[in-house]
Amino acid sequence: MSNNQEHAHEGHPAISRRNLLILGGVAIVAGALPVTFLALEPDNSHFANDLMSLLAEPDAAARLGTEWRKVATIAREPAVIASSIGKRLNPHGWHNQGTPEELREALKAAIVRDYANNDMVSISGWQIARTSAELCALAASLSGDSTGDEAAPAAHAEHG
Amino acid sequence: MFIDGRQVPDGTIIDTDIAIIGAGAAGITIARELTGKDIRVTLIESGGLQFEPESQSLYEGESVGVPYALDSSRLRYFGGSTNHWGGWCRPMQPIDFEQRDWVPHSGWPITYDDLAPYYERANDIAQVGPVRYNDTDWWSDDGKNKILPLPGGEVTTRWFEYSPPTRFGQFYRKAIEKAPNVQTYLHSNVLEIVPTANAAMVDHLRIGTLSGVRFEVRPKLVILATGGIENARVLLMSNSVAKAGLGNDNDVVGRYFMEHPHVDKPVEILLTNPEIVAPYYKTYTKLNGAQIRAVFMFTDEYLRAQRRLGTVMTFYESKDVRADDTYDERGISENRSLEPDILQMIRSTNATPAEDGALGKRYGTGCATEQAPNPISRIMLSHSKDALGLQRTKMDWRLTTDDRTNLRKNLEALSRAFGQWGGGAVKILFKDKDRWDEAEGWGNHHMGTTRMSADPRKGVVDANCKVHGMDNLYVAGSSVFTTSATVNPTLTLLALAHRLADHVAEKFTRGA
Repeated sequence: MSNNQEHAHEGHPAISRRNLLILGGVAIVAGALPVTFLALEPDNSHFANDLMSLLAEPDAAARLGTEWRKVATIAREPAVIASSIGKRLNPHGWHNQGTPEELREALKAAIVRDYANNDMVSISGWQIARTSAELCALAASLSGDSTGDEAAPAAHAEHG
Repeated sequence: MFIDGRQVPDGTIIDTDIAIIGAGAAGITIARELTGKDIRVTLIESGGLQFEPESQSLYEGESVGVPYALDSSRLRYFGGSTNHWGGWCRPMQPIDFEQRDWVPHSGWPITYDDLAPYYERANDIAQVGPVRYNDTDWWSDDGKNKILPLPGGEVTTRWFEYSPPTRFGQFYRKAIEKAPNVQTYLHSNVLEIVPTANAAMVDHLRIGTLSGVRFEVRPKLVILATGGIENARVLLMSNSVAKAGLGNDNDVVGRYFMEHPHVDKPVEILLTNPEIVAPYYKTYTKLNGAQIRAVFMFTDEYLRAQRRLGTVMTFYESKDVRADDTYDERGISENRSLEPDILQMIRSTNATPAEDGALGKRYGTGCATEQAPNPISRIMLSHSKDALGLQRTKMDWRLTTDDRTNLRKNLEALSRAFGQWGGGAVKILFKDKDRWDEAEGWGNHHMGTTRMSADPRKGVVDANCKVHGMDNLYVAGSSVFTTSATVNPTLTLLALAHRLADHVAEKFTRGA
């Protein structure tokens, strides 16, 4: 049984616990990154956590992210993906400002903007806003998905 | 009066004012409009009152382009192809008549406004309901029906109205039979429209039956109304004087053949809240004196800004999608395993989480799309001959990469609209490739082969449907369409038939 199939039958609370463990790992990894990177990407572990907390079912997003990785080259590091999403919400990045509801609204606005600007990606034919897709990629990375490891560059997010 | 051509004495010559060749939607409409006027009308029909394989076989031909069924896509007996018509009615949009600089060979010599009053009469003869094709309020059923609020200004909801469908050959048979000034010759095939020596006027029609009878009709004016393929064939094979065929000095007859490529399930759509989908989107709906269906179409603003041709999309319920669907229920073989995940993602940002496992609903779609006029998409004469000794039709239907790309881009626009709305998502199933291996489907819509243009070098008929260079030969039917638009052609060809009937009636009233 693959990870995806296993998760599909798990309950929501168990997934959240697992994600919290992974997010803790993100903080540890971030702690090991160069100072300059941290200066550019402050608090992305918290931000990633905040983004995940908006999802109705993080495993659903992770499955979509895994599917996207099969056909696209996407950054793997959660901090990098979170940073990219943050810049989609605010050109200067999202620095833990606002409430969860404000974050949801900003996310919603970014998704609408993506569609209006034809910034969509195809996940198995589904036309998904790039911000949503990156959110899925973030969920996939946090779930430990290794799809596309061979092809993906170390830390370059796909844009455009 | 109905006369069986097989009973006409060989060598008979029939004098008449107007000869209408073909008793289909256009021919019957014109005959009906001329009924009771001081004009002798001769309606000439190849078939009988019922389907007969021998007559139908005259439609067989050769398809050398995108594969096409020349025989089964039309019917050759009284009533013509209305005998298998689906009844879908909707006028073209004003933009469809315009010269669009991004659509080569576009631009009718008439406008929508020229045709608007005739659309109302077309609605009547096709027994369609009120002319409310774009009237959101009219179809709201006191506010119970709401259109999907798709933002972005690219996609809009419009309505088709349905004819019962009217079988013209059955419904108008008695009216035509009893019309004092109309004589209908059945089982009578026009073998050639024979012009005068200078090919500037029709002199007579050579008529033949499959039983071997030959006679002539000598009309003052002729209306060719044999359908979008056969009109071109008849002109091309009328070549005893003008060797390239009648009206074909500029090699336009038969060219620009257009269909509406149909694609089943070009996209699937997931919606989180099926409750808001009005019934008229999902199926044929009776409302306010009409049978209607809502479709998605593309706005003029979008078509202009993106330099696109149109597409019409229908929409129907397929299946509930639940969080607790088993993988079998999701249909792994059709790659449906991601559907619950897509709906969960939409719910994460734009809807409330599902409480009882019901995440949303899947909808199927169908579409018909506009193909650009293309001179190499054409009707020609085959070397093989039919039972009357006439050259059969050779069709070379062409669809281009641009036609395919156009549809693909329209599907992306639909995806943008649903995405911006936030209540749904679109999966594009239409393959992203360069060529049409074959048409996924078509509408039995035959258009463009005797196209209308003010310029004889670019069209076969003028704005009045008169063949360029000939004084008394007119063409009725969808073969005169300059561009195909996206909607079914019958209502427009009926409107044009009414307009033509008025035009020729006026000529005779004036004593022309």
